[in-house]
Amino acid sequence: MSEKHDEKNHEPFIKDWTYVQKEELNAESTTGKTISYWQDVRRRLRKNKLAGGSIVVIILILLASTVGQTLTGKSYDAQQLSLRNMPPVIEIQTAEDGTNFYIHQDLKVFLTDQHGFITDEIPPVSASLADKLFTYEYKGKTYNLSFSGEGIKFEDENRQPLPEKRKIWNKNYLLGTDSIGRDLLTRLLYGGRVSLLVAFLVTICTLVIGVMYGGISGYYGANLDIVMMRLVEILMAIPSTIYIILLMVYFGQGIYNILIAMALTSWLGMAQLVRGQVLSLKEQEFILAAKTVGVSPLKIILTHLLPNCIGPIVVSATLSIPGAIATEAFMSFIGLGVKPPMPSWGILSNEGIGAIRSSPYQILLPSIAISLTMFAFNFLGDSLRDAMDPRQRK
Amino acid sequence: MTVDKLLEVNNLRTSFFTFSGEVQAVRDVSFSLNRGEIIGVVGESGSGKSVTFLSVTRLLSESGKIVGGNILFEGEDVTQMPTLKLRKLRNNQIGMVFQEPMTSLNPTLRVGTQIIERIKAFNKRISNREASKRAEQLLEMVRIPEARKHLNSYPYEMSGGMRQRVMFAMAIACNPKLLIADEPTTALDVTIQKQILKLIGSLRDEINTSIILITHDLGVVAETCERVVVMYGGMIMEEGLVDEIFYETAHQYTVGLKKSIPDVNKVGGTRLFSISGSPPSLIDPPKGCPFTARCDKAMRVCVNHCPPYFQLSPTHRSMCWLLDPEMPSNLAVESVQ
Amino acid sequence: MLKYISKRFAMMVITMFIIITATFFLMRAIPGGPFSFDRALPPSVEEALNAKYNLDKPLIEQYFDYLLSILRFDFGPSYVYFGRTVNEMIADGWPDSAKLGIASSILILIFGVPLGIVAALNQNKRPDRAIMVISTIGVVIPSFVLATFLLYFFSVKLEILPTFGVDSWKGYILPTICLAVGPICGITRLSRSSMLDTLSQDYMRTAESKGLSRSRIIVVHGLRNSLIPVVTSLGMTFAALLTGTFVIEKIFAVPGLGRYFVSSITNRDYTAVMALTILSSAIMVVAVFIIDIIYMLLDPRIKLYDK
Repeated sequence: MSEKHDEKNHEPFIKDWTYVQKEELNAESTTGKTISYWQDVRRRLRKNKLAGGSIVVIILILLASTVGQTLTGKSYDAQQLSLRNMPPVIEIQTAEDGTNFYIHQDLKVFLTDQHGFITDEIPPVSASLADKLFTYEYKGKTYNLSFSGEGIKFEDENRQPLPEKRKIWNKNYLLGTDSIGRDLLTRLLYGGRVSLLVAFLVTICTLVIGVMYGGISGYYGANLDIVMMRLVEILMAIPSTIYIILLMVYFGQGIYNILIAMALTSWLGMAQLVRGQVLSLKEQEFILAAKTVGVSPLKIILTHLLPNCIGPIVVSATLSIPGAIATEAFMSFIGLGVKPPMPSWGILSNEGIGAIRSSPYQILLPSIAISLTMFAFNFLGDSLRDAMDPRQRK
Repeated sequence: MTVDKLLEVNNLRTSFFTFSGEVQAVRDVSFSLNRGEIIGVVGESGSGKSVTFLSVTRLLSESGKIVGGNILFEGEDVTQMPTLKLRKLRNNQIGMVFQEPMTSLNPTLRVGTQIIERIKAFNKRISNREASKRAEQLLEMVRIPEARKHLNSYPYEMSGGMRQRVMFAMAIACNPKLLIADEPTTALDVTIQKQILKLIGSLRDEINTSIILITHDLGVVAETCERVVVMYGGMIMEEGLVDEIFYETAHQYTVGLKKSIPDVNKVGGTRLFSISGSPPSLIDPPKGCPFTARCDKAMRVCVNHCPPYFQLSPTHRSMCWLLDPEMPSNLAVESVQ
Repeated sequence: MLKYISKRFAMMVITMFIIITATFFLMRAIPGGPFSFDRALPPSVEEALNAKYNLDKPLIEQYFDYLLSILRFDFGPSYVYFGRTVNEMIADGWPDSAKLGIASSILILIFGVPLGIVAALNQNKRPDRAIMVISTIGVVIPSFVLATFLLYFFSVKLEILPTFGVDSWKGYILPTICLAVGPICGITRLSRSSMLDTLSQDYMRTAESKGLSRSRIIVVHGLRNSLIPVVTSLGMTFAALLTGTFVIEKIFAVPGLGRYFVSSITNRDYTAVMALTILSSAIMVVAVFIIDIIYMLLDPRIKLYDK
């Protein structure tokens, strides 16, 4: 057996045989500071870049949808029929005398200033559908608009293209207009307000109903628990979209109705989660102790049980927000959500999908808004869950 | 290398690489095991005893790595073994029984299936009927009543003690030369514990295998084993024959362990002894003797320098500065008081 | 075992009964009869219509009639398309929905579980990271948003696939992908975490200690146990896909059940709405029943819990 240890590698040392006090040793050994569970959660959350990014995005979206709409100076239902289907980016053609034209795909000719601000529409002086040729006159000059198979062409009197073409941001409507000339930016911001409001309120209802129902069921247990949970199981057997659709057919379209319909269906999962947590917690000593000294059940639930199962509840609530956004969008999309003209991201998608070929921006903008919001909330929820997972504690 | 040594572990170092750093679970452990011998490995949780023997069959989790030393099984280095050879070693050379009988068996497979799959893994010629016959015989060997019926049982239909018997049946299915039992009785009732220990003793006689019994209970070792290895902080503190460990105890940690065995002869009034404090962090292990912080007789030298092994008899060695012949004798007397 | 199945069966029947009852009374409670909107009908015509559809009988009697007719799988006449029964219209729409549903279910089966297993076996390595990033995106993005992006790129920009309609096989490609992506990503994530959970179980180490081959350890010990939670999700997804989907069918103009559902809502075709609600729920409830039985076969412990 090898006798290999320290000595052969080390310089000879002086063996100090004096006795050491235990306190002295323990003082040396306890160098690592212990941190509490929540401090640890916060520390890990702060280290997570994805969570940080998500929070920033969520704050920006919240700001935009609350105050943004007032900054655009337009109303979400004001129509400007002459300026419908205006894209966010327009192509301006400049004539030799410096006049700027914008040719819309619906065969309309607009005058703009050099910054891309549309000032007026000019009507054709003659229009021949047979030759596919419209003629315009402006400042004593004649222009031709032809729309043969090769697309739309705008030319001067000699059938020569105008000397200058450039793409420029639409200054009247930064994100363009929809099919009846409403400002898309305003509608997008206001729609965000509606979508997020519905999502938050539904989540709050989910929390209140789910926590109370699950808390009572789990705390009292026995037969009450069996009855309450059987009811939840039966309700869960009904596909939730069908349940919401049915309720909406009954209630009719409208923001409050979709809120109620979604709140009525979304608490089931939360109730099961809370019940499970309470059930496992209530057997623990500190609850028994509280019971023994005669603390009232409500107080036990509120002060002892809930704080100890708050982690999974918070995670579940965070993740239910994107779920609610998607459901609202979906319901509005099939015409059973918010009532037009009030916009929501689902309504905007519904209105935009028909124009996907001619004006793709009308469907892409709300789609991007929905995706971005859902990603942000989902990543935040996932990060929260990871941060709260005691198994990952390091 | 002497031939009659079945297992020889030399300067083994095993670490787990975690996010918070390298956990040095086993730090320079050497020992050997003879054929037919039954030894006990004692230590509390986190002493490195389980990791040492998981290293022997390379069953460490993904983050665990053998970083130094070698493990010779019948003269062959396990740490360098290619996969197929390693699988054969696990299959029919070394049997293992783990601590948790409730979770160590696959809940969705019948007991018979789980035994037979081991028998058939490298023995393609054996027929299903023969394999099942062998499995039945194994269940009888571990004293499971109605063995044939229980081949078709699921683990959840059995008690903890029964499941642990099944684990033993599975471990000895291919007549292993070495049986490693990692705290096989910890999760069981006291009466069942006795039965399992009896089983371990009888298994050695019946199939003539070497046994390593890992436990935190010195009492269990005294009943079953011939030789004892005491581990703490990833190192071997003391090693010797059972009598040497019990009657010529050399290490202060062993003294503590011995004191914490409940004594049924003392009735009333005495509180069960426990060693105060907790084991050292293995991420940043202490420079000196790992037990210093909890030792009643710690000296300055213990804090800064790891003691060498002092050979007390051909079979007995210990790592404690108190055994150093250079130590002034008056101080030894003083500290014992 | 029989006891377990019969108990589940009873649960299924009770659930269906509650769904049918709730649907019936909810629809009847909508203010105004089915014929009292849009253009006002002369009272005599409305009375005649009510009599024709038995709407003049007491509500309770109508309810029992409806229960009986559903037992015969007869969903009654359409209130909007005169002369057509709901059954005929379901028979018209279902094939298209089912084709899409089956195609996407196959995609889900092919990709979902294997990707999850691959990710789990390579935990925290490159394939796992890639799979996780993509599946997180896929699971979050709503199907109609995905549909618009795909439509925009493949039909508008590249012009290689049709925007709508299922006249040729090309028309099925985008709707099938849109239906499958979300569930694939969901199943991938679920089977990954389930597999990781299984891999960390004590019995996996036991299996390894027996010297079994890696493939046997993963397939026999790992896969079966980790599939148990995945089965529920797979079953529910298939059931949901089979009855058509509202949004995808609407976007791609697939003449399936989902689109029929949406149009009957907007047309206030109450018998159709009721029929489709009950049908979808029934398929879902039956799916849950079948899942329970598969569960029992996969996990022998279930019987014990349920005693």
